[in-house]
Amino acid sequence: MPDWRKYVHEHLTLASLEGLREERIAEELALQLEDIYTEALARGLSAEEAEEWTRSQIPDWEMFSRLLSRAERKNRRPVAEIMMESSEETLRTRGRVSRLLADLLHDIRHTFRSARIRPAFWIITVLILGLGIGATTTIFSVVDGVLLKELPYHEPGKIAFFEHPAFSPPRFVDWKEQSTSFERLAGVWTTEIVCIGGDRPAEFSTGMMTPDFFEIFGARAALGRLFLPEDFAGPPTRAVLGYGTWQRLFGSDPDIIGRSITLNGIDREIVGILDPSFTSPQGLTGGETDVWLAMDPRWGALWDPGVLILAVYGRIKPELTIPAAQIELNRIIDVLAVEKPAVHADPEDGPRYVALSSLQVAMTGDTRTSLLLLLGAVILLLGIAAANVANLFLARGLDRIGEVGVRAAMGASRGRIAAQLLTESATLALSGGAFGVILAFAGVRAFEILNPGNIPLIERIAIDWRVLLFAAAISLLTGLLFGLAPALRAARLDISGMMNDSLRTGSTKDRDRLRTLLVGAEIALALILLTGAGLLFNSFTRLQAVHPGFDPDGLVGVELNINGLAYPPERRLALVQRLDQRLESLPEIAGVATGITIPFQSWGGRRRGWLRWDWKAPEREDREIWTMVHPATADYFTLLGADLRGRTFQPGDETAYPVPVIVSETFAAEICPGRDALGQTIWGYDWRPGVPETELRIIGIVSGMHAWGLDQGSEMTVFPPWEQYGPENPLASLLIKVNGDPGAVIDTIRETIWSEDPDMPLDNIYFLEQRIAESLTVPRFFSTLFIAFAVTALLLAAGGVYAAMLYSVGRRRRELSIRNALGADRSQLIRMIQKRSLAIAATGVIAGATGAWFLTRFLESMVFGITTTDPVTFVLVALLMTVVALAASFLPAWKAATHDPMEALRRE
Amino acid sequence: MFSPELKKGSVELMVLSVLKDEPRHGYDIGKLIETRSGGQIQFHITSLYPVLYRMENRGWITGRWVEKEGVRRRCYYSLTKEGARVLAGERKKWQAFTAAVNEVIGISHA
Repeated sequence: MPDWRKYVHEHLTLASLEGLREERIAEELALQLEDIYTEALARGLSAEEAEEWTRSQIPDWEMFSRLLSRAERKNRRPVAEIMMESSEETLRTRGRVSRLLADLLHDIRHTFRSARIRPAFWIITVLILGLGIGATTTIFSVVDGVLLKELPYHEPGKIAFFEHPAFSPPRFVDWKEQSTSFERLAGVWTTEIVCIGGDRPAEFSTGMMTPDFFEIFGARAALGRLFLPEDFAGPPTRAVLGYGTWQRLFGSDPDIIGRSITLNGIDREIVGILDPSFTSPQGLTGGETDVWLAMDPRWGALWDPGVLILAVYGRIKPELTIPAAQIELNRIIDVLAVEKPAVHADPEDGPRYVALSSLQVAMTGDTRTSLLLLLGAVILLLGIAAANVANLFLARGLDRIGEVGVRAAMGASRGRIAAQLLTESATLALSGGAFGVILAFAGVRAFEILNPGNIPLIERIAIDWRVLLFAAAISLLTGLLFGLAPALRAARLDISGMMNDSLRTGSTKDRDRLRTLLVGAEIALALILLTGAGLLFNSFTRLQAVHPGFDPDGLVGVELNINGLAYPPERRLALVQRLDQRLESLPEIAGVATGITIPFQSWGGRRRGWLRWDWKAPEREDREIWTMVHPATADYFTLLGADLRGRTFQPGDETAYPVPVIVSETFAAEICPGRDALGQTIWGYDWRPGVPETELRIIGIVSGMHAWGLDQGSEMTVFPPWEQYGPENPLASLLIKVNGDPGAVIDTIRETIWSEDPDMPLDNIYFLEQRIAESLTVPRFFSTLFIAFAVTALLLAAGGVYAAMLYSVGRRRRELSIRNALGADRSQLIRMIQKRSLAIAATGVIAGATGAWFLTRFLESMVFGITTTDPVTFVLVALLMTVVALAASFLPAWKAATHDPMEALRRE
Repeated sequence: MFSPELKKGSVELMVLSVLKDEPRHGYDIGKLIETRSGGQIQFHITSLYPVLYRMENRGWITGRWVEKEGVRRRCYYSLTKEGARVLAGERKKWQAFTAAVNEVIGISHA
């Protein structure tokens, strides 16, 4: 046993006391500490724990000594001045600020002390809060990195993006000449260009820019120079390399300036290397551009309103805003639409306006909605966690009513008591927050690993001081939320209430009401989350069940690169025909077809193709139908196993006139409304230079093709024979049906193509089946996250119901026992208790469904095949919530109903 | 009329009540109050002893060291005459106070 006598002597300092008196006090205290120590050992604590526990009994010896000294003064002041709390003493002896500080420190100590006494309560609270705060912090750090953090440019808010992926050079040049809102305005055409010279031909991401592009983003050269005005004349021949490209391709050769690089068969002079700190907007969203070329926007080859290539960025003048620039731009377009209607107006819709948005908003696009929805979801989750903890606090508050009452009786002011309860909840909340931050570290990591690949700027996500500040702020806010109710209650509490509201049978009705309200709120919030998750799950299963309109089994797509100078149309035709023959002769290949694209070559909004819009229906009336013209060979439909009515191409169709075409069922319905389009003759404009009108005969109608994503409709498409129209288009892909294991065939396919053209980059070879699965990763990612949050919410709400009912029946035990003793049978009792749970659950469900009705509309862009108020989802989810709530309250009800009445009464 | 200090006197009132029947030592007093309040009121050393010494100095209670065979030496406190008088007075005041408050706020006993 430690020497407590010595311990007391070392710490106790009683001023101006007679030695004998001091000796007696020290002796008595030492004995008391011995008692506490012995008792702690008897409780099962280890020697060290017991010693620590004993020492903690007198945490502040200085204060304690002062209290004792005062008590020894033989004055007869009113008894009342003796305070239970040492901090009350401080109240008199210290200044206002240090008094508050002392109070605070005391309260925090008190919290940790009570945490030691009731570890279960503390642990559960910290776990629940940690879960809520952790989830919220994780999603916030993603939102912060993607949506909130400034882009790495000077005054990024002044950079505007022209909302449309690409514009023609004539349109851009007109804007640039007329607009006065922009300091600088530039366009860039980012495309893959073949570079020859390495082991294998490689494709470079090349950015062909008009003047001012680098200036908008503040790029600097690490070596050499950036572009000068004279570089932007005629075809693009001057190049600036990205720093990474220079390292990778030229081993950081310092003598690179002035040498040349061969792109698409043309030598371009390297004039400079970009500084490593520069990241272009393309680089921020994933693929950094490797090579930059200076391009004259008036270069004849591209001077055509139909060439949609330029992404346009502008830096707004410092004194202007984006909305102001938008107003000016609209005015300019209004005038231009009259002056140059071919460039700036649509025949029917009038002026072709363009929306300006800030670069960051434009870059984050669809992700913005999804992420903000996730943030909303986790905030709901946090709300449920807070309600849960508030309920725990209330339950404990009832247990502590005596303690608080005595404290009040001792003279602690109401404000003081409320402050103490708030400090307690804040301390707990911050502990929960600390745990939450640990969870968030894991969460962010998981988010990065699971990222479906479409979240831009994801590398900027980090748990940094901004995120920590956020975590601290929401922790305190949560603490305030769940601590406020008990604190307010404490502030209203009075001594007579304490004395008369007998602890065991007291029925403070509004406390019950508050608890019910909290549980109801938990159910409502959980239901909102569940509804959202239910809608996403429902639409995901629908999306998954969509039939793509073809059978992807054993199909391989190969995107050919035939857009360079090396491939005039005759060579394209020759290459494709030769490849077709050679591949088909291989035993592992069952068939080969060609089209300008293959289904799922890309998916979502992006698609490459050839658009035409002027048609003449069979009656020769003009029709404007935006249609993809998609040359394909005869086997294209056979290999796909497409749902084709009529026939596919046959020998002779390669040169036939009227041109035989196969059309999508959507186009057929549009061109021949109300009757069968099969066999009809229609006319298309502008098919070839000098040919004003081409006669087309519909020989087949293909139905239900979802070539660009399962969520995309069946596109308006006209398929002419590839031999007639394919080669004039720089796009071509092979569709290959393989026998057996497609994985083994890929290399054979590559080698065959390379034996024809060793310089052909083959970066886009894929299995159709795999591509379709990949196209589902984004919706799967978001619906999985939503479901995870919703399940957590459901569990928390169930826990809340369980705890509340347990408490409620606990307090009604006497009543229930008497009923039991008087002959009520179990099922009657359970029904009685369950009726109350049902009432709470029903109220929560109704409130939640109403909330969901208003909130699910934000899911609009994420659901597929159902509305955001899908009644089936709403009803199923409401039923699930009700059943879970009833199940959660069943156990307490059953326990109460089967309780031995005699024992309950004895306990009373 | 009740003195505003009245509520604050309850610690002394509790100690006096606990000592009414028999002398007890400090640890015992704290424990007893804790038990009787169903664990709601916990006296830490730091709160208890200043109260005890003050009451002793006022002459309401008196401490005496007692040594018994097989039991440790302890300081037992007992009520003085003055203490008994104070207890009776304080009790009356307390009952009157709670009765009056009950009347005012009309709490029914469960």
